[in-house]
Amino acid sequence: MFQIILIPECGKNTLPIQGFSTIIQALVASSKCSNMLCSEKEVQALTQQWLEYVTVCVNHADLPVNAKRVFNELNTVLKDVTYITGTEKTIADVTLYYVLHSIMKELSGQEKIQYIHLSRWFDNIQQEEKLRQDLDLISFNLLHIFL
Amino acid sequence: MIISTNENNPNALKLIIAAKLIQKTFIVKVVKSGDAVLGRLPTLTVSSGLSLFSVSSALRLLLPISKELEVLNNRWLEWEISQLQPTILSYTSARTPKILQKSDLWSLLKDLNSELKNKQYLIEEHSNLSPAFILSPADISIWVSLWSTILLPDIRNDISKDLSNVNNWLINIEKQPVIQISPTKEKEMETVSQEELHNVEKSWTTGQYPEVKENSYPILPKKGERNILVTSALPYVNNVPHLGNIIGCVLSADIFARYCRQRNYNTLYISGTDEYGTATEAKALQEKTTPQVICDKFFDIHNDVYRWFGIGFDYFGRTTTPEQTEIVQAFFLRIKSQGYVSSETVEQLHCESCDRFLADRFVEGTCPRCKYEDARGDQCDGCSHLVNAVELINPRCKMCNTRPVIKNSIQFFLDLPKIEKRLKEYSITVEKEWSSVARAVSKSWLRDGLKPRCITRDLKWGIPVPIEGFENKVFYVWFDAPFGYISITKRYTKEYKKWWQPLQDTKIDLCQFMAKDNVPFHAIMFPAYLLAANQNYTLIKYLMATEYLNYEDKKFSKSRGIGVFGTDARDTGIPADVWRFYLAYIRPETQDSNFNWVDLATKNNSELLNNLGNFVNRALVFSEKFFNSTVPPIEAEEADWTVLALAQRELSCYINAMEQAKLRDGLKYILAISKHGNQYMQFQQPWVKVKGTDDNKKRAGTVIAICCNLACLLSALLAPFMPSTAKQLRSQLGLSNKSYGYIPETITNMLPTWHKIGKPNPLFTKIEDQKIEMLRKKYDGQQETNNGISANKVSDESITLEAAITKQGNLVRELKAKRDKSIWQPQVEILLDLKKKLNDLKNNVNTSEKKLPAKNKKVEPIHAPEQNGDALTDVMALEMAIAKQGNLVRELKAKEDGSIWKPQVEILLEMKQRLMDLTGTAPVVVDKKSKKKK
Repeated sequence: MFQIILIPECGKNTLPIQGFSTIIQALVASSKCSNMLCSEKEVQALTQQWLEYVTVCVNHADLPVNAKRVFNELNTVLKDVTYITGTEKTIADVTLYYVLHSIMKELSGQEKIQYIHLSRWFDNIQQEEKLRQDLDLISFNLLHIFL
Repeated sequence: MIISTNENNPNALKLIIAAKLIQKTFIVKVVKSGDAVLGRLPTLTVSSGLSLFSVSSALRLLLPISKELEVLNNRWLEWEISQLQPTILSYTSARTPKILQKSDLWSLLKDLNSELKNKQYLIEEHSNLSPAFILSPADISIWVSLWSTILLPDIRNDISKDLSNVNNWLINIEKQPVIQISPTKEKEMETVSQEELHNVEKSWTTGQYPEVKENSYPILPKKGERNILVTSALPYVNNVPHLGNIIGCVLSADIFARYCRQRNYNTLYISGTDEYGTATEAKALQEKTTPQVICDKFFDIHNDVYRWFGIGFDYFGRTTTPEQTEIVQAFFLRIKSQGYVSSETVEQLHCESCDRFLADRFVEGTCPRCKYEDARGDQCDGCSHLVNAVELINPRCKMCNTRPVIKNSIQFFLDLPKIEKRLKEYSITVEKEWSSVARAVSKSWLRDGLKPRCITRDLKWGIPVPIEGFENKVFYVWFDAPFGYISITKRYTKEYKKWWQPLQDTKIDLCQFMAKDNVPFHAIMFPAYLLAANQNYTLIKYLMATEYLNYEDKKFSKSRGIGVFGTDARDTGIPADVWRFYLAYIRPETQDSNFNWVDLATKNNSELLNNLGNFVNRALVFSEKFFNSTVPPIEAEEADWTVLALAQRELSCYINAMEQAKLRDGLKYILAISKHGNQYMQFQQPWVKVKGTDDNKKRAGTVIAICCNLACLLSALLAPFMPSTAKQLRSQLGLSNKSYGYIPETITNMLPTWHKIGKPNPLFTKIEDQKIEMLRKKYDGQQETNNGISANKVSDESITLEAAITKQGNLVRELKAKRDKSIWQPQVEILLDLKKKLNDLKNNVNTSEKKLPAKNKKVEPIHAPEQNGDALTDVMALEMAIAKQGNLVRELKAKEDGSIWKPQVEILLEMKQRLMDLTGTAPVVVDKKSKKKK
């Protein structure tokens, strides 16, 4: 039912690391951008919360009914903040971007407007080329809908 | 912190456990999931405003984990939420339950089992901060998920059979103290419903706060109002009252009466000394003076003691008054005319060697009912039944120990069997409201059936029997004493009949306070007299009896100098209000309780100083500092209504408890209010907000105003217990200290906006350990020995030394924690030197003074206290020191390595050896508890 990801050689320790968000955190911690986890305790807690959210909710958003709830929730949260944890970009934003990309791509213009805060956030994140790598830029040029 | 959850959400339990482990205060709010952000519950909201719906993240925030173990902890937290929870859900909701061993759940449990191989916990030694942190987020989370869902007995059986690692892990977790306290109870206590919030908001905005009405002399009952007549058992005059007597009657009655006055009931509190009887007569003989002189002397002693304790009698009288004689004689004639008195020739005990009839109290013997050997002539302490002196087996004269002979004499008897039926009818209507010990005693009396009671005696010091031919006899003290309540009321006002024989439409509640030994006289005898008189006298409605108070696990004993008597309390330098507080706190309401010095200091320092005093002082100081000593305007939000609703809940409980004279509970509810206040203030952080934006400042103002109002409420609630403290607090609040403030049923806005407060000052002071130790020794009865002076000197010296040792010990501990050895080593030398001196001092005492081998203490602890007093002190001091050292060693072993704790172990062993030398018993390996009790 669940796919468990094993990465035996992560970092210097030899113990295998399991679990989607655990692996991400471990990777970030041992990478050059360990600041993406944020050292401030409360932001770190929020980051972990959203990574967990990705694991238990967004990863199941391939079903339309789940997707709807996830979009609604993210849209609510992003109404007031720039990044998912507040004012700093963290690994949670990056992870969300990647798991959402394939679903966001399918959204109609109308839907993008419906989840306008989520769209604004997504568009902001995907502008960074280093982060986007070879994923397609999704168009959020929604002006034509209002015309 | 606030934990918001919906009903029965086990995930909230995880947060509660973590919050308790780190000892953070928190409030649990039950909300509907629709009201939560994203509809996900539970959430944890911390003081910065951050709110988390992920339980794992919240747990990690509360319980930080060392870096190396973070990955492991994350992995199992993720496993719990992404695998365990969904699997449990599908297992438990499956329509046809699968065989456990073939389910997905079982394979997950097997994973857990292999992870736990050779491990006590999933995440071990993850924090070196404190043993409280032994449970990691992962352990808590997984345990709660399993325990709250599938750990039914049969599944547990399967686990213990096949998954021994998981089984051991479950046992390890379940023996943690934090798991053993039932969290559900706490949850119920702390959750506030919307209705409560609504109610408190309504009473706050619309309710009026009434004044306490002023009473003018004389206080009389009024038609249609609540009229309370409070009495405390009349203390017998030739005893100096001790702490147990004080809390047993006068102080309890005083607290209750003060409460009633602050509720605007018409309240009259009377008491006085009971002065007639043989004991006084005998004492007068002994001191070669008249009984009246003895009575006058002791009346003053009692009066002084009670005045110092702040007992607010409306009238404190005595029984040797013309009013008493007149009332008792009139009652006797009335009861006789109603046909309830008969005369009979009785056999009475006469002591040939003292040449007198022996009063009941002057005979001792074996109780005919329970065979208790030291039964008194009037009552048996073993079974608390009344005894007829001539029925005692093997009677002996208490004065000269010879066996008295039986002589004949004509006496009057009260025909109790004749009144029994009416007494029973009456008893059924009132006893529901009595304290349990009162109910038990009166029930057993009526069940056994009543017998005629002799009410006259062949004595001189008493009220003469007004019948020809009986001039040489007086009334039995227990016939005359209860009428003291009436005669003392008459001394207070000529209109005393309004209290005792009220008009039909005026209702009087007579509340009588006493210790349990007085119950038969108030539950049976006194009502019997009044019913027999048949003139509509006010009968007892509430009988508030207490059990006994012990002193440091011993009985109070004036002759052996054990305990705090009379004016001793004043000499301790501890304020009367603190005594009142502590005595009420340990009031023996449902069982015998125990006075303990260390406990007194702890309660003073933790409850009064840190809880109550801290709260009101902070509230007032903030008002003084930031709002120019005024009460700022209130713009209340939910958090403010919540604290008021919590306080309202405690207030209702307080009223409920106090109405039933459950004073101990009443006091606890007061402390609960200030605890809520402290948490509220801690959470709202007005000291931060006051420096913020204008909105923040307003918020801070609201918080301070709410806290000042709570302080005002507390001043009223506290006043019955600690009147002079309450007055101080009221003047600090800028209120008139003419009255103590009305005790309301609902919380209202008591201090108007911009009300000017007074000058805040700390209400309580800390009681230091050394002082307590000194007092404990002083009243321990050990010094009144034959060689009292030298013993005193030695013990003074050793007290000074011990104090110095404690101080030095603290210094050393502090230094050890922070500095390196070169700095603390010299201090250790000093400490060791001091300890050696103390040892020498004690050894000197033991060798220089002739003494019995301390072993004797075990055999006859009571008969030889004088001779081995010092050895005894020594043994006790040693036992305490051993317990202390034992703790130190345990603590060190847990944290430090051998080089540090080994020397301490040596010391411990040496102490144990010395104890063995002293007591002659082998130092059994015992834990500290049983050691102390030995």
